[in-house]
Amino acid sequence: MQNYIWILAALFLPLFPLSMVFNGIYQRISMPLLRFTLIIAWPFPGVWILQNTNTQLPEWLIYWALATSLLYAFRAVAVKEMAMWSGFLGTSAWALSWIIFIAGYDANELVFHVLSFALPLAVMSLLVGEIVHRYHSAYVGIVSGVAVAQPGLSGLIIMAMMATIASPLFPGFFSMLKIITSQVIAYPLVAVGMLLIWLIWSWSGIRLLQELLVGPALPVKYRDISRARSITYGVFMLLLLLSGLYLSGVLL
Amino acid sequence: MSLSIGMRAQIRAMVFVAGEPIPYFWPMRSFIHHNPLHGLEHKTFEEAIAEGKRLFHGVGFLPRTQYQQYYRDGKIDGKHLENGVGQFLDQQPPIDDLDLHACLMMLLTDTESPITSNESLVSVPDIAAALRDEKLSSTEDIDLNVIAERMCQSLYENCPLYDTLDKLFGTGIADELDELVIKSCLDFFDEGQSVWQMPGREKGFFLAWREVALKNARLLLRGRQIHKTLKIADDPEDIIVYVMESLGIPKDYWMKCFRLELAKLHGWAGFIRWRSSNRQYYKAKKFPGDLVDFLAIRLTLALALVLERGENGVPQNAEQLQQFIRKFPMETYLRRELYDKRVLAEWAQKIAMALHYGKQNKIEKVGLAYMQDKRTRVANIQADLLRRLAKCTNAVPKLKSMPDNALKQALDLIRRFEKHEGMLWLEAMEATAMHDFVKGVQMESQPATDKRPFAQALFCIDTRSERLRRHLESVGDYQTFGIAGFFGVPVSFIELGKGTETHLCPVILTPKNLVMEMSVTEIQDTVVLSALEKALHDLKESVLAPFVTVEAIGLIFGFDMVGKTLAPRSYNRWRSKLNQPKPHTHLLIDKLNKEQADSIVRAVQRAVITNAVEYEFEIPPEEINDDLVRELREAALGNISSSPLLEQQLKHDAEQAQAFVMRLRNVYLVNASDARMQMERLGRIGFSLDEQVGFVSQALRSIGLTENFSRFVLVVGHGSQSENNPYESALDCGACGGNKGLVNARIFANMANKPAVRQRLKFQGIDIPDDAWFIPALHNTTTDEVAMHDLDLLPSTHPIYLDRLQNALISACRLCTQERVPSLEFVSHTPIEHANKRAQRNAMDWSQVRPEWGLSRNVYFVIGRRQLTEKTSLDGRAFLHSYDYRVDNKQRLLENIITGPLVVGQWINMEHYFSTVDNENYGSGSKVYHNVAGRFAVMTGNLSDLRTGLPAQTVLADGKPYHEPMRLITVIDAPLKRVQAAIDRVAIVRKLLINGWIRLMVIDPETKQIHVHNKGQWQAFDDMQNAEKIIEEEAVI
Repeated sequence: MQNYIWILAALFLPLFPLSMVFNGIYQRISMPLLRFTLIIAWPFPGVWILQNTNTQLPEWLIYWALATSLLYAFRAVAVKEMAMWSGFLGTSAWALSWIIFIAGYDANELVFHVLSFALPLAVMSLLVGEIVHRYHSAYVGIVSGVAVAQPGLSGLIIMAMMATIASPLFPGFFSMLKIITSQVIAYPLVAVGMLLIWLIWSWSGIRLLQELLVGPALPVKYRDISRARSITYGVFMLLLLLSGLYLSGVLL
Repeated sequence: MSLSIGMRAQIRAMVFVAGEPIPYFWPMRSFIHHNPLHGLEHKTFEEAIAEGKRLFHGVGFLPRTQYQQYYRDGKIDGKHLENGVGQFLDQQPPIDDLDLHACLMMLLTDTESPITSNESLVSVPDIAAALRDEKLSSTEDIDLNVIAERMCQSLYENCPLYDTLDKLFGTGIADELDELVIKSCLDFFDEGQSVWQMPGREKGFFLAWREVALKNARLLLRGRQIHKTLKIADDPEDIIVYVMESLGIPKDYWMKCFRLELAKLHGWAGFIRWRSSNRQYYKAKKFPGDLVDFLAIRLTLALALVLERGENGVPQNAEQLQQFIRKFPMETYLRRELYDKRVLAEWAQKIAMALHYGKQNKIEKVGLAYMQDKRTRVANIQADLLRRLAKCTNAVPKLKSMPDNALKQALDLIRRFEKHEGMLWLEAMEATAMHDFVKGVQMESQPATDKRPFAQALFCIDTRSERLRRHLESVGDYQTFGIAGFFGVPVSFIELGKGTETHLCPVILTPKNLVMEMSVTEIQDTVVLSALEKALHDLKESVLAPFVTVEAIGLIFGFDMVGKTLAPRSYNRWRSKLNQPKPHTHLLIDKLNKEQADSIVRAVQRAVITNAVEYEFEIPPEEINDDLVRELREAALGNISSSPLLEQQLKHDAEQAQAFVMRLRNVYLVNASDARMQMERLGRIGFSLDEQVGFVSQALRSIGLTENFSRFVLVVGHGSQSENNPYESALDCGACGGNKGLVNARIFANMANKPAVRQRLKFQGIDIPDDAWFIPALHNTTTDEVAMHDLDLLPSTHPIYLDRLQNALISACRLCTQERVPSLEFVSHTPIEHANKRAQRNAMDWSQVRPEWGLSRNVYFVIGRRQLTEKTSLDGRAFLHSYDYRVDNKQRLLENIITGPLVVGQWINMEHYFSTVDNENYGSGSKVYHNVAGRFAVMTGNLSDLRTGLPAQTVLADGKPYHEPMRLITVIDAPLKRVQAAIDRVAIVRKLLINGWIRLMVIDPETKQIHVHNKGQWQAFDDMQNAEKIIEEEAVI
């Protein structure tokens, strides 16, 4: 039984097809706070299981994880609903944790990788909630021109998006950089695959931003995000940025 | 595939007609203000706006909220609005129990969004149910097949086939097609911006593109169909027919489709249309291309994209599309809701998922639920708005109990009213503006005086001259006149050092005469800085050099950037000292006689032959004698058969000598036909004495200046000055074809100063005294400075008075900037005494997106004596054309004014109007995102349609209209009968008036009555205090 406990971990650090469970639940939740909690909490049982298992995991799991990540990265490109996109991106990013684990890295690095995506995704889920609160949906293209209508909210979404797709200076960037540079010699194909996944994340994120922020604004005018909330989110994003900078020294 | 000649001609004719509503687009080097709906001027203003919406997706009126703001600000008088509502209701059937007048006024002034909706699902019983807070009937009763059938029937009406595919399948064909077509246009029409030019352009647009397209990797990736299509035929007409047949478009709809296709990129289509119709345009002669080529390319690409998408199951032609719509009406409905962005946002994901899985029962279920929800919401919104409206007249209970047919009647009336609402606001706004104008009018004639003003000045009719004229008149004894800024002299001009002609006259005229600028000082060698500038440009434009250049000399540009940005005035002044000043020049104004022209041609030929002999035989010039040159010239012209001197002197045999003579003819163009052509060209240079007398006489008469000439008569052209501004010529003189007006002023002054001209004018009754001197000047509209030119020609008796004149001009300039500069919002805090410095900075600041407001806020066009408006400030909003009906006995002068200047004024006015009401579609959006395209236009971002209208910075302030969009209110100071007769004789103006493109107000100086032309009738216009007393005087025209 101990030998197969990792399958349970694959539910929380989602590997296909178990990844459908997380995405199914995530899509059925509509409350932003619940989504926030789920995104933060979901991967940690998986991390805990992996840290406490003594089983030697098969090497093919690296490729399985990579395939899962690639699959969800591609799905993120096709999707237009922002909450759904967040779920897919989280799945794609967390699936890469398996590569860290199997390659035998420090447990802290695993936690760092999971958190570096979970935190911005959690913020994103709250910001998506702000969009839904105003427009009744976060389906980009139908909701558009947000940059003109709610410039403050748009700025925060851009920041959260940058952090989510692992742009430079955010923690995700350093985590990805660390994994890829470490994999180049042992698993060059995996490193290339990860680069491709990283590229697809950026593609999907920017496409989403483009359709959400530019274009004609809806005729109904909604208020921008309040100053207090803007400051709270802004401080959080700044802390994320600073932590990324700090951890860059630790990791690299 | 090869079409018959008849069929080809038919296709060409169809494309020609289809292109007619597309307005011309002139290259921006000489920006021409034009009416974006010029091609629809045969329709009424309101009809044209509706058609413009269909073709260009442009809006023709401001949003209701903006008009409401004008109403609150007093720019729209409620009295006029109420009149409009009353007139509207007079034509409608009455509805019992409702105070419609109050309701509609409430709707106009107190309701932000329209009440009626275009949602076809919502019926009157639905709204009635919502009004009574009852549940709506079931959606299952709605027959979707009817909607589907309606969609099939109107498939070709309002958009090309691929647009329908995009709306149903989210295929994105239209965007990709536009991108591909724009790239093709940029490649072909480039005028020197690209370093690597498109090959084979001399073959024409379609053929050059065809060759490239067959090797284009991106197009290959986009599907092989493009090759198949292009191999069908070589000619664009054949391709057009093939594509239309392949897409299954019935022939009856072809012209509609062509028109819609051309309107898709109307900026490019307008440019190509202008270019192909302008045979004189050098680039058009060299690289021909027309709308047939453009359409063939567009359709070829469209077909390729449609077929490529078809590989994923999307219908590939009209028949397949109709089958799909009829077979799956619910799916079609949901698809259109989702991809045409009509869907309720919260349903978007659910519908997308249902469509993604494609199960019809699921689609049906989601569709029914969605339809019910949408119907309920739309009905509730409409019911709420109706309730709000009814509340103001305490009619809510009546509304609730209203039977369905009465409710329908009310809703239909409101729908008609909302459709007509824009016109109503506009007319009320114009009526208010007319009343404001009349307030300042001085009707009483001033007694004539013999006192001679110190100076007189002829200004352009441009609205920016109004301020300067007013201030100049206020600082001393000055009399000003308004005349079209080309001063009635249409001329083609070749500037010193340039090889091309510039037409300095309104674009509706084609100049016959050519004037050349000649240096009177020795031409200097190119200074070092100019050579350096050229070298830098070459480095920037080559393919690899920029990489090295940035490293090597980037710092130099850095200094330039810092200087231009932080201290534009001082830096640019210092920098201008480094440039070589333009040499002093004279203009060749007098016509050459035949002998003079012949002598010039001979001299040129001799010089060419001497150089040819020197170059080809390496003979020093001293050995080339006149006899040899004369003989060679005669031989080249075919007057003698051989050149014995050449054979003798150079020891060549007859054959070699003959070969050289042939080269003289063919390579050096010393031959009879070229000589004739040169003679013809020389014949265009200058004006004959008769022409000069005619132009001066006509100009002076048209403004009523026939006596009492001052010592100085300033002829003031105008031009703008700005940095880094592709729209600079839009701020120059429209009457000079979007160029600066100085050359015309110099030509006119030169003619008027000529004793021979004055002598003849005297016989015509215009006695210009000997001491009267015409001085050309340039009014810089950005800084308001007036610089006088050709002062070296001033008679020796005049310089003593020059100081006084110059001081007056400086004072007027300062007063003018003090009045004008605060309206430029970004400098509103500038102390008034520094306004002129700020204006100078604007002219030199390369980061300045709004150096001046230009012609923004124009609204009046006054044709009359200055006394009419001299006591009032028109705030730079009026074109002022001087005209004294008393010297126009034959009424020809008035006809000329309304034919030329008024029409140009209307173009300017309409350009501003439409750029304001819909800056994205009819204007050109924000300047901030503009990039120069092909050196003749601008695009938004790196790829877009050519932006044809005015930028947001010219007509909007903080996103709100700065220009107040109204049709041009023309005011004519002349007896009504005369005006009517003049309009009757000028068909263009009559059409504009009848169709409501201009408003006309006649101030009759003999009866002291004011008359307004309104919808084909003349109304008497009493003073401001009285309500409009409308009397139908007579049906005009």
